[in-house]
Amino acid sequence: MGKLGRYFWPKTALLFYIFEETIFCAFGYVEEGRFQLQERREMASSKSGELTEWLGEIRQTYPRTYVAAMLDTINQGAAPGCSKAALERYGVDAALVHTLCVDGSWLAYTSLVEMKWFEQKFKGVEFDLLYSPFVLLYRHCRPLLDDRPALFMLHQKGVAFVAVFSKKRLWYAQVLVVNATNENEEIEAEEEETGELAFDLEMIDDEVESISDMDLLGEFREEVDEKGTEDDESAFELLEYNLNLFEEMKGALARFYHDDRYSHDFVERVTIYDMDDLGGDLVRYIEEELFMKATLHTFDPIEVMAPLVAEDLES
Amino acid sequence: MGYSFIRPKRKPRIDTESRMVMLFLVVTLLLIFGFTTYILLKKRSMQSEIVSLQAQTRTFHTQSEEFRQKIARIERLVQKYDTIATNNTLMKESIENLFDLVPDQITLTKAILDRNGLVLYGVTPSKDVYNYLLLAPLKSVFQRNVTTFYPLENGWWRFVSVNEGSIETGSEVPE
Repeated sequence: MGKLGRYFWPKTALLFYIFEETIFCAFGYVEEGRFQLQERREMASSKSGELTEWLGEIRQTYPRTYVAAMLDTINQGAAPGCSKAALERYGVDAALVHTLCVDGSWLAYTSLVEMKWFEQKFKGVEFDLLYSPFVLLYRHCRPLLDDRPALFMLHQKGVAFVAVFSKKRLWYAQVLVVNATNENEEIEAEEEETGELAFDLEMIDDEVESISDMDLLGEFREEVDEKGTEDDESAFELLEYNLNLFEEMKGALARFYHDDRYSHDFVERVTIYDMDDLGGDLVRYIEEELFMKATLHTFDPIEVMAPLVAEDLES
Repeated sequence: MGYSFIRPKRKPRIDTESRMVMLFLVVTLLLIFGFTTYILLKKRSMQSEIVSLQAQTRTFHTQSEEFRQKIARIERLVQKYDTIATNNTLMKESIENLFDLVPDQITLTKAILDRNGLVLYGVTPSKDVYNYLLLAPLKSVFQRNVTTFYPLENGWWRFVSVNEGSIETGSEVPE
């Protein structure tokens, strides 16, 4: 009967999420409360038409295809409690957000404008399910929850969704925006330097040689070390990024401990789910500087979304 | 318990092309069923009409038979009437002839004419008068003649003549 149902009236789903400049998609059957993956594709996010085209092809064969996506907008969050009054308590205007009560204990919310913007970004795609990263994080970490609160972080390039969960409740949640370099400091430094210079840079453009031209070691050494320098630069950028993320996380923890709007308890465990490639430095920082137990895991939103989609479509 | 910000929209179970094909099939099936039903109803109607016509035919046959029998009876009655009329005429003529046969010398007191014959009661001056003037013509008419004489005081004879034979009366004709 199931095979007959799949043959005549198959229920299928197209899942996707955006990471940096790439759309990661997955297509599969939804049957017997499970998502059975059939195909995965990656496409440039600038070519959203490619996604629409693929969806059109799928829908020609499978009219009952549902589209699910992870909402990766910045202006979203989560708050303890399921009433909209709780949102006002945390300074969120309930009229401007779309909310979802999760398991009757906490509220995920997102900016209405950003949600509409996200939907309109993919013209021709009719969304059926939109998941908050906090919901995905919660569902993924649920088996690890116990009575003691623990910090869970879902890291995407430039953004981290941080939440403190225990078995029965959400304690704290925040979206952290992480800069690759400390741009503010650089801009400020540039402004200061520009202010000190009392002459026109264009006037001396021809007279001043570039640093590379003045290099005494010559071009040979530059060519030899080019690859090594790039590696060093990327390692340095990653280090800087990890430090920034660490600082943001520390700040979030400080807010959790000091903000009276939240209930407090000691957090001894940090679990990081990484969609990028953070490396082990962040874990080391946390363990050495915050004296907390930290673990790092990779995170595939498709894998987490798949059972949720099946569950939501079967209910 | 949903985990999504939005609810899934309703999806068509079948695509547009399949829907058109199914619509076409459904319309075709409806037409076929409709036509079949029409044919069946028409057949049933015609069968009932045939039964009705057969009953009518039987009725007409019966009526025709009855009419034929009536006509035959009427024909027989007409024939009987004609026969009776003829016999009556003959009877009338016979009676007239009979009374013409009786001579003036003989006086009839009683005459019985029935299907068996003719019985005459009367008075004759003599047996010879009777034998020559009345018995002779009676013999020509009837096959058997029996006459009994009874003498009277004045010398005349009372006689009873029983004549049986071929004379026919109209009342004897069967239907």
